[in-house]
Amino acid sequence: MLSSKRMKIRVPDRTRMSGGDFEESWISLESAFRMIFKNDVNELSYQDLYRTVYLQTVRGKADVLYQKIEEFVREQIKLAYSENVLNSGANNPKDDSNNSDDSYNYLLKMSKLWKFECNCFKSLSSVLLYLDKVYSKKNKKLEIYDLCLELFKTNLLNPAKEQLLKAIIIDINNIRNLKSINNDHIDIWRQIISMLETIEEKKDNYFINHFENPLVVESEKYYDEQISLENVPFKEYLKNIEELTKFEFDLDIKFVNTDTASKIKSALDESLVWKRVSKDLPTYIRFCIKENDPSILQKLYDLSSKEENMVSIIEALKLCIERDLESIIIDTNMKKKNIVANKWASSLIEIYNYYDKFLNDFDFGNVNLQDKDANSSQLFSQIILSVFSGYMCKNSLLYTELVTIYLDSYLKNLEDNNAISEAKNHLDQYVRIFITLPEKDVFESQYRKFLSRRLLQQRSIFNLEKWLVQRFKEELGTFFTSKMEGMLRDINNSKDLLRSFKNSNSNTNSLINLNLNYNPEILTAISWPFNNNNQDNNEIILPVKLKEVQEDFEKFYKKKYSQRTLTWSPTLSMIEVSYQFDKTQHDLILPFYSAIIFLLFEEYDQLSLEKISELTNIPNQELIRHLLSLSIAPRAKLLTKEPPTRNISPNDKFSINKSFTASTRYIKIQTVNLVPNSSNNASNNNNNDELLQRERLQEVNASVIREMKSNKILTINELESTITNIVKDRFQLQHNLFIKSIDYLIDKEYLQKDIDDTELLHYLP
Amino acid sequence: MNEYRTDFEKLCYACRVGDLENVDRLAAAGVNLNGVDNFDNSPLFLASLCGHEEVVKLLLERGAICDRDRYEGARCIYGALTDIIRDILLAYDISKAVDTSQPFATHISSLLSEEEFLTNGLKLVFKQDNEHIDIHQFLLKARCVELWKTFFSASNKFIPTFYVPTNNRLKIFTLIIKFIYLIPVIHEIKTTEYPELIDLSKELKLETLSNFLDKLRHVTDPSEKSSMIIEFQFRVTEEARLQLCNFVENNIFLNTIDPKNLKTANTPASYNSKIIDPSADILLLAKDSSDTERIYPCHISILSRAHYFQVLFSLPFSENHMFRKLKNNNDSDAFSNLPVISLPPCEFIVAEIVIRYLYYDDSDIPWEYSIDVLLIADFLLEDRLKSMSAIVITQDPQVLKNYSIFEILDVAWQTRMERLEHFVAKILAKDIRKYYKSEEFKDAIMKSSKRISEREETDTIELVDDIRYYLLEKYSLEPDDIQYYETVDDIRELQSAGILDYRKDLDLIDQVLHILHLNA
Repeated sequence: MLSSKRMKIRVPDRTRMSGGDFEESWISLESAFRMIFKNDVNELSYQDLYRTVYLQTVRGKADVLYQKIEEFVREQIKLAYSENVLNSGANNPKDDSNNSDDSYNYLLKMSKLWKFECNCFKSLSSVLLYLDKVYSKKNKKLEIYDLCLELFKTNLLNPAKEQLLKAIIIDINNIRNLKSINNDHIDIWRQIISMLETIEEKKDNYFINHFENPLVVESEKYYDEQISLENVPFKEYLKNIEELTKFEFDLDIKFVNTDTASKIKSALDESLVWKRVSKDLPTYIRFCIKENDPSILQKLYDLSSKEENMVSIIEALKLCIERDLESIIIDTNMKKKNIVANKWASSLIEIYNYYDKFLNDFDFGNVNLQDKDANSSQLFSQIILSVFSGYMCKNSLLYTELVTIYLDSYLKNLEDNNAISEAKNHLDQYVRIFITLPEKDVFESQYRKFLSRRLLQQRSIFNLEKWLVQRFKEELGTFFTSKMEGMLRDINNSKDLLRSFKNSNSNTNSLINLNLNYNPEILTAISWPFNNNNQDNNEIILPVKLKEVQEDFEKFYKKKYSQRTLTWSPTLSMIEVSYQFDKTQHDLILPFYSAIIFLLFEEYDQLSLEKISELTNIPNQELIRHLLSLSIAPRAKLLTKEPPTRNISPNDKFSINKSFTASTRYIKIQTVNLVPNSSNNASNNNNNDELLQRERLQEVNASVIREMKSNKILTINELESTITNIVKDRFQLQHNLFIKSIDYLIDKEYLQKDIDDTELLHYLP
Repeated sequence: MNEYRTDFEKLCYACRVGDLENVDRLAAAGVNLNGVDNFDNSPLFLASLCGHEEVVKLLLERGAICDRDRYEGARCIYGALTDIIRDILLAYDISKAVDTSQPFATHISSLLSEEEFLTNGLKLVFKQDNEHIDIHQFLLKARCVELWKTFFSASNKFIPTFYVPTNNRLKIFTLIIKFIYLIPVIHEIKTTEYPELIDLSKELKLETLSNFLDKLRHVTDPSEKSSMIIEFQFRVTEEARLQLCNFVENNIFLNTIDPKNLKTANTPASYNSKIIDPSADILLLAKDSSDTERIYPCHISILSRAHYFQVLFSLPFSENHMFRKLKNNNDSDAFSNLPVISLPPCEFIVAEIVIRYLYYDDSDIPWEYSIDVLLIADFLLEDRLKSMSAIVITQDPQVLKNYSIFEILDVAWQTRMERLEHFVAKILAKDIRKYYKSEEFKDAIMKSSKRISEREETDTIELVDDIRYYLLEKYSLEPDDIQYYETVDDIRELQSAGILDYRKDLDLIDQVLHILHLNA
């Protein structure tokens, strides 16, 4: 312990340095600081000053020194304010002379002063480096340079704020008036702004707190007074605005940061464009559409920098499309439904194409729509289609019908094989629109009905049918088209089957001998929209030749597919008969029953109704219907009836009308509908409906089970919304259907309601 | 601590405990970072294993090799305590060829592109390329005498501009200059440039470079190549350190001027290049305790490493004014008016330590001067030198024998060296029974309590807290142990755990606090 006391550490080293007491030092420091604040430091010795500060700091005088410096700097800045700022520039703030030179000079002076002071601050803080390091940081005081800035703010900027703001706005407005960018002025502005941004205040800087907002507001005010929408064509107005805001932005970007510049831009857009346009937005949009000038709309859109405004424009645009769609007239009273459908469909496509073209090059920028897909390059078609989809929802049953009728008639009437590629293009457009139909399962079942008729009667081009189904598959998924594909496959397979049947049958030669062209179609029952086969088919007495072939085929088929059940549905088929009338020979295309009746006259010259019934065993009602079509319906009177009344009675006698003639070789005989049949038809419709409901229920059941299996417990509401989402591509889930499904599943003990909370469902494994 | 005799063992210890400053100091002293100890552990492995992220980074920056294709490297990566360390190691994997260097080398490298402090520069002119390179004269003199000699005319007159013979390509010469400036260039060299470069480096007697290139050109394995380059870089840095050391000894310390001569003569004659190294552009004045003065002819570009000098030279005060005059006036007479700047009063040895440190990172500080160096480093705002001297204070046992612990504490507070504060607290904790009665101890506690109240109103006294912490360490206790032993009554168990002694020590402190009316 003694030894450690003996030794001396050279702490006195530091005080050994020359240098007087604090008062003395301060006097020399102060005079040096005065030089610094004249920016006249060439003669000052940095070493000496630093050492003086060091010494006083080491001697524990940092506290006093710091205070003295703070006082000193405050005095200096106050002095600078009263000498340079107070009585210069835009004299009296209340004086509205707005002399532009005054403002500019004021700014100039301010900027010079700032530069000057900054230099002083820098020199001062360098001299006081040691004080900063030892004292300021440790005692949570501002470092000298920041202290200077703070004092500059409170003693100079705060009192000069209003004046400075006014000067800068006047000067900016002057340049705006001149409409030319003056770099001298801009430089000064930029320097002033950068000064304001350098000075911190409450986590932000002085510019943001005190200048940014007034600047934006004043800019808005300036332009608001400058330009008006009255008496200027809309297009021109937008052009003016565009030029103006561009000028302004180019100007702003040169002296404020991009953030502020875009704030001004959006403020201008808001007040000049949006405020003035928004109340009549749909009118303006309609105007753009009428003019067929997307560029106007684009301009309007681009000028609406706020996202909500962009969305409003899009909404207005949608409204226009919707109006156009609603104005399509559908004459439901018209008999010829295919004509109605045609007209409707072509109106749709016209509207679609119009907007498609109109919006094709439209740049929607970076707008965030709610139900937007990731694929934004196609945003415009999404927008259009969403309107179409809304339209389709409004009367989905009618529109579904129209769509199917339209497709049917289009496909049927397309006869030329060469037109296929053209037809594909044509249909492609339609498919895009038609898939916006809400209840796709209704559409599917209806479409299948028409499809089956076309396929069986070979009324359309098979490849085109295939292509169209493929298109549906692309758009709607395999599930939607699996049955249609099954139908197409059946048709194809049948052809193959027939070919091998013909080959295998070459021994018996029945086909060749009988001079018959036999075309059996093997249809997979579940794919086709025929709910049940007429059980009484077997009783029909077929013409001998036909019967022979059919039996041959049956044998052949049984040999090939022993496991399958083959049931004939002759009513679905057609028979083609070639007959030489007196004048002309015709190929008659007859429904199955009609053909059987007609073929009786190979053996008989004249037959009574009763006799025909006896020979064919056709159910009475059907028989009367077919006889009516053959003998009374206009255009195709193949039979003559004795007596020639308009009704059919049991004693009527029929014979071939040899004098029949027509302009075409091929004649297709249609079957008339009996009046009572219409009720039958309605029941058929009901039948379809029931089928549909049943299918939907099954699907809902399946989805519910799938969901519950993975989630175990869900509330009814959660489940309903999930399921709605799952099936929404096929149909809209009705609440009662959902409840029905839940009840059914609870009944079958797949699910169980929670004992305490009836809203909660449990899955029973 | 004394059991680690060699510097390498000290380095290994520092790596284990995570003593960043010490690792820095030892690395700067040129200890081989890629050696292994008796157990085959490399410093990098120890630091990685013990989880000292900053130490690992520092070692890698200073040239420790981590090559995962080799045993030591793979071991480092495998043994890394945390994922962060592993990632750092992988980022520095040798195969990625990272440039590494010592701080003084980094500074010298930065001088090539920096012209602010370039005075008395030499110009290498390439006529055919219409280009020139400015070089710091002292560096050339220190690193490549052969090239420096070319600036003397046949009549032995010094001409600061040299026209490079046209058979030398600018590209090759630039590589050589970069090498002289310690910029890692090996990666830049294209294979086609090897012969020319080797020739030129032989001509300039840069044997280290020419020998290395001769070897390297035959090596193809990239991993081997990389580790050769790192090793070469290390060698070059050490060579440069030696060269600068020689330069400082011969051209500065042997060339000092007595200011009395300067004042009386006051003519250029006494100041001619025979006496003062012509490369000097600043005169550094030191005054020792006997008021003897001595002037060291130095270089602004090097002194500016210290923050104080850097500010001094870049502000438009009178010193800068003189300096500008010098820079703009290439007349050799100007040297007679070299600006003089002075160090705070200190022994010449201390001044020389500072100069050595600034020129080549020398951190060999004798304990007698460690506190002086610390204080002057504080004045010069050179934090790294402060750490270096603080390490000496804490590690050399002579310091404690010869200085009062409380004076060391004063210095620690003055220079804001936490390392020293902790050191003092540890010593005090160790010998609390010796110190607790002394007035100095009471004073120290009072001072510490005031230091705190300056900051904010809390009841802790940093010194006391530190001492309490080190008391725990003294008896190898953990804070949890204390809680546990609260519930134990068995005297023998308490005795053997050291808890009784610990409590006794604590009581002593509390007594002192009580006397001082302090609460902590």
